[in-house]
Amino acid sequence: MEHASLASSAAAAHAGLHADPSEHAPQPSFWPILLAGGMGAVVFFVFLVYLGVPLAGILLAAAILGSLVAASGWANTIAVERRRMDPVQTNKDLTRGFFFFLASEAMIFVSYFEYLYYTHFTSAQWPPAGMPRLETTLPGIATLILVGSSFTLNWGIHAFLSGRKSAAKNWILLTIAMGIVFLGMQGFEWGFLNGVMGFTITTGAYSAAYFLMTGFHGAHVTVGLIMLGLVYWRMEKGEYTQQYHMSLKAAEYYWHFVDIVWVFLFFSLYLFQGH
Amino acid sequence: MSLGLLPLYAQQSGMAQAMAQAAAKGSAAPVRNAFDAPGSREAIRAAAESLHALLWVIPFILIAYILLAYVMIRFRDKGDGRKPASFHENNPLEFLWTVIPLIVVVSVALHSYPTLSFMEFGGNTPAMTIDVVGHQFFWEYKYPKYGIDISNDTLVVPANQVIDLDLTSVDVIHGFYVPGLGIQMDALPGRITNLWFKAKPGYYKGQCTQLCGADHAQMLISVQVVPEDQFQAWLARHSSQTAAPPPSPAAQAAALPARLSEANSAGRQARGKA
Amino acid sequence: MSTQVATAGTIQPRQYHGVLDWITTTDHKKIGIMYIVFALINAWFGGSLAGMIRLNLYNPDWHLFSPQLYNQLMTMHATIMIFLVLMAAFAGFGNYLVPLMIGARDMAFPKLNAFSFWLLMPAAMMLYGSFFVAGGAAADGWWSYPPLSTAQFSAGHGEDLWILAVLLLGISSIMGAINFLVTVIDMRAPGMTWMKLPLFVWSWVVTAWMLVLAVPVLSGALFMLLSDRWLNTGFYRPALGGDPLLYQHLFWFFGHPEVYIMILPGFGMISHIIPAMSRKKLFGYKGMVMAMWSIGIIGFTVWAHHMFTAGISSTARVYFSMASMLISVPTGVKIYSWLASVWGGVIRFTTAMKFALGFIFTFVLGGLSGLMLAVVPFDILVHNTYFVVAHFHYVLVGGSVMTLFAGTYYWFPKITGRMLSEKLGSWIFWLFFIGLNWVFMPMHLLGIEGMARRVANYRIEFRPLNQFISEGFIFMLAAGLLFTYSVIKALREPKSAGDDPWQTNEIETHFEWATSSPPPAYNFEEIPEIQ
Repeated sequence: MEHASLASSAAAAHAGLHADPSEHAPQPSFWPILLAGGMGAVVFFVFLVYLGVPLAGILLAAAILGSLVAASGWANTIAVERRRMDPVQTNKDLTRGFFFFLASEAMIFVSYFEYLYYTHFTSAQWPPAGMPRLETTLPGIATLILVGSSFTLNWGIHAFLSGRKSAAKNWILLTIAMGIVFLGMQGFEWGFLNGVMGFTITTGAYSAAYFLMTGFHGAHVTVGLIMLGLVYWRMEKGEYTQQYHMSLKAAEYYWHFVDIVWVFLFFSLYLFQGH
Repeated sequence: MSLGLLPLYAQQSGMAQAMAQAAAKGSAAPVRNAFDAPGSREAIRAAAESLHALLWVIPFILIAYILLAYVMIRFRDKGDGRKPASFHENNPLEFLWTVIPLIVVVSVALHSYPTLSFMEFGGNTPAMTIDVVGHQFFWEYKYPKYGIDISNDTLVVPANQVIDLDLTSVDVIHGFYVPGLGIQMDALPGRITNLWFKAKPGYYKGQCTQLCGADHAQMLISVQVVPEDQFQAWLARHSSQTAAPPPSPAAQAAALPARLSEANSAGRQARGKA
Repeated sequence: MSTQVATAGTIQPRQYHGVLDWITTTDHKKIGIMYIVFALINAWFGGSLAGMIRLNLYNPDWHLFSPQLYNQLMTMHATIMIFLVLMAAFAGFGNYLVPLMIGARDMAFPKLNAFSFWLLMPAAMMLYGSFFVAGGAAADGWWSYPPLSTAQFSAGHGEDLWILAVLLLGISSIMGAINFLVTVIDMRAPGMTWMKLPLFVWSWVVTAWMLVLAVPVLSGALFMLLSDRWLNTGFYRPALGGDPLLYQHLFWFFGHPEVYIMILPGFGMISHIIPAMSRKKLFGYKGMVMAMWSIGIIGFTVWAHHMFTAGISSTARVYFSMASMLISVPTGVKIYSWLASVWGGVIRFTTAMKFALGFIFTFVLGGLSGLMLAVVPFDILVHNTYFVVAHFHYVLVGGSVMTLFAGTYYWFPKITGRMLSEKLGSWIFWLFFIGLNWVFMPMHLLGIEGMARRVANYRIEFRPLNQFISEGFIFMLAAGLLFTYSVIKALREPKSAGDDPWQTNEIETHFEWATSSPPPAYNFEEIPEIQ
C-alpha cells in the first residue's frame, strides 16, 4: 500500500504528531449507539406513557437510567482518552462546539419569542381579554437574584483562577443556592397563577406561551444547576487545575446563557405588558 | 373533454336550466385556467405578468443552455492531445453576470407589483359580498345581502360585477382556488381572508388547494358566472325556498367519497355519447 | 506501509470485528459509509412510496388506496426522502470527505459523529412503525399544518410518532452540524487557509450553519404542536387566541433554509467534478464561495413565499417576492461559473460528468420555475398545484439526486477502492435523466391546468397527463434497479481503482486523492500540507 504525501518533508516537522499514525485513529466505542438507543427509547416510552400503556413509566425510568449510564460512560471514556491528546486543542474544540450548541439553543428560544411577540401584536389587547396582568415585583426580585448569580459565579471562577480554592467553592455554592431560590420563586408564581388565578397552561395561547417559556427556561436553569453541582463536586475532588477546567468554563457559559435568556424573557413577558 | 362534465355539474347544482340557456348563448365553455381562457381581468393580468417575467428570464436560461450545448460539443476530449486552458477567473465577467441578472430580477419583481396591487385592492367597491366558509369537505356560500346560505353547491354570481369573497373556515385550513378567475386564497379558522373578482359569464372550476384531510380531493369548487337577469332568476328561486340548514358534516362525509368518481364516470359517459 | 511499534505509554487501538466493528466505530469514513447505505436503503422505501402514489394516480377510478392511506403515503414519501435520504446521503458524503479534504485524521468529535448517525435509527423505526399503529402513519403532509395536525382532526398516533421522530432527527442534524463546523474551523491541515478550502467543504460549512440556526426553530414549532396535541394547550388554536398561521411562519423559517441544506452540498460536489473532468481549475472560486454564503444568508429571509396565498399582508408579499427573486442571482453565478469552468477544457464524458452536466440542465429548469413562483401574481395562479410539485422535484431530484449520483460515481473509487461500471453508468444516467424529465416536466402543465397537489383523486380531464407521468416512473425505477445492481457488482470486484483514478491532482491538489483508496483508518500517514 502506498500513501502519497504531498509535502512529506514539511509534514514530519509538525508538532504533536507521533510516529505511529494508527494511534490517531479514533477509538471504537459502544457509548454512542447506546446513548442514541437510550434517547430513542426515552422518546418512545414518553409516547407510551402518554398513551397510558401499563408499565410504560417503569420502562421510561429504565430508559432514562440507561441513557444516563451511557452518557457518563461516554464522559468517562473521553476523560481517559483526553490524557493522551493535546489538551489545548481539545478544549478549544469543545468550547467552540459548546458555543454552536448554545446558538442552536438560542434559536429554540427565538422560536418561542417569535410566538410570544406575534401573539402579542396580533391581539386586540395585551394581556388578552380575561387574562390576568402578571405581577412584576416578585419576578423582579427573582431576576435580580438570577442576574446576581452570574456575578457570584464569575467571582468564584476568578477566585479559582487566582488560587483561592475554598473561596471559589463558596461562591459556587452561593450561586447554586441563588439558582434554587430563583426556581423556588418561579414555582411559587406557577402555583399562584395555577391555583389562585386559574391561569393554567390550557387557558389560552398567552398562558400556554407563558408556561412554555418559563418552563423551558426553568428546565435550563435546572440543567445549569446540575452542571454547577458537578463542577462543585469535581472541584472538591481537586480535579481542576489552572489549565484544565473545561467543564467549569462550560458550566459558566451555560449559566450566563440562561441568565441572558431570562433577562429577555423578563422584559418580554413581564415588563412589556401594556399595549 | 371537460365539456362532458357540464351536464353533471349543472344537474348537481340545480342549474340545468340556466346552463342550457347559457350554452345556447355560447358562453358556457368551461374555463380551465388563466392562460388559455382567462375569465376575469385579474386572470388576464396575472397571466400577462407571468409571461412578462418569463420573457425576461428566458434569455438567461437560453444563454445557459446554449453555452452548455456549445461547451459539450466544442470542448469534448477528441483525443488530439489538446491542452486545457488555464484561466480560472475573470472579474469583469463575473461582475457582469452578477449585476445584470440582479437588475433584471429586481425589475421583474417591481413590474409585478402593480398587478399584485390590482389583484389585492382592485375590487374596493364590491357589488356584493359573499361569505365563503370552508368545511371538511365542502364549501358553504352565504349571501348576506339576500339571506341565502347554500352548501356543497355551485357558487352563482352575476357577471361583470365586483364580487367580494370573505373566506374563513370552521375546522382546518382550506384553499379556495379557481384558476380561470385568477384567484387563490386560503380559508383559515379564526381569521377572515379576502378575495375579489369580476368575471365574464361562464363556468369555472376549481378545488381546495390546502390539504384538509382524507377527502381533500373531493372538495371541488364550481363557479357559475351568469348575466344579471339569470342571476335574478336564480335569486328568486332560492329566496322562495326556505333556507335549508347546511347538511350535517356526517351526512356530507357519507355522501362525498363517491362524488368525484361519479362525476368522472358521468363525464366519460357523456363524452362517449358525444 | 511504514508502521512502527507503538511506544510505551500510548494506548493500543482497540479493534472489534464484523458487526461489532461497525456499531462501535467512530471512524468518520465508516460512519459516512453507513449514512450513505442508510440513505440508499431509504431511497428504496421512499421511492416505493412514490411508485404507489403514481400507481394510485394512474387511474382515478381504481381507488387503489383509500384517500387516508394515500395521504399517509404522500406524507411519508416526503418525510423519508427529505430526512432519511437527501439529508442522510449528504451527511454521509460530508462525513466521509470533509476530514479527508481538509487533511484531518477524523472529525473533531468522532463519538458525537457516531451518535448523530445512530440517532437516525430510532427515528426511522418510529416513522416506519407508525404505519402499524391505530390510525396509521402521519397523513397531514410533511408541513403538518395545524389545525389539521391537532388531536381534533388527526386523532391517530401516527402524527405523534412523526413529531417525535422529526424531533430526534433534528437533534441528530444539529449535533452533526456542530461537529462539521468545529472540524473545519479547528482541524484544517497547515497551510489550508479559508480561501483554499475545497468547495465541498465550504458548502458543508454554510449548510452546517443553516442547520444549527434553522432546525431548532422547527423543534420549537413541533414542540408547541405536540403540546397542543398532548396537553390540550392553545398555541395554534384560534378559539384560545392562538393562530395556525404562526405555525406556518415558524415551519417555513426552518423549511426554506432546509431546501438549501439539501442542495448546497450538491453544489459543492459539482464544483469538484466539473473541473476534474474538464481538466481545468474551477472558474471563479471566490465568486462561488460568496454565492454560497449569499444563498445561505438570503435563504433565511424568504420563508413566507411558501405562504403567498395564506393571507399574509400585502407588504409581506412584496418583500418576500423580492427577496426570493434575489436568490436566483447567486444561483445564476454558480451556473455560469460552472459553465466557464468547462470552457476551454478537455471534457471526459464519464458518468460523473454526465450527471454533473445533466444536473445543470435540470437544475436550471428548477430555478426558472422557482423564479416564476416568486412572481406573486403567477404564484396565485399555480400555488399548491402540481406546478409547485414539478418545481421542487426539479430542484430535489433534478438537483440534489443528480448531484448525489454524480458524487457517487466520482468518489466511489475513493470510498471502496473499486470503479463503478461506466457502461452501466451511461445507461443509468440516460434512464434516470429521461425518467425524471418525463415524470416532472408534464407536472408543470398539470399545475397550469389547475390540478391541486396532494390529491388522491382528480377530475377526469387530468387523466391523460397523469397516466403519461406514471409511465415515466418506470424509467426512474429501472435506473434505481440498475444502479443498485451496479453498486453490488462493483463491490464484488477487486480493489483496483488506485489513489487518484480521475487524475484530479494533476489539475489541482485535493487531499482526498492523495491518500490510498480506500484510505487507511487514520487517513494520512503524515498530515499533508498545502505549499
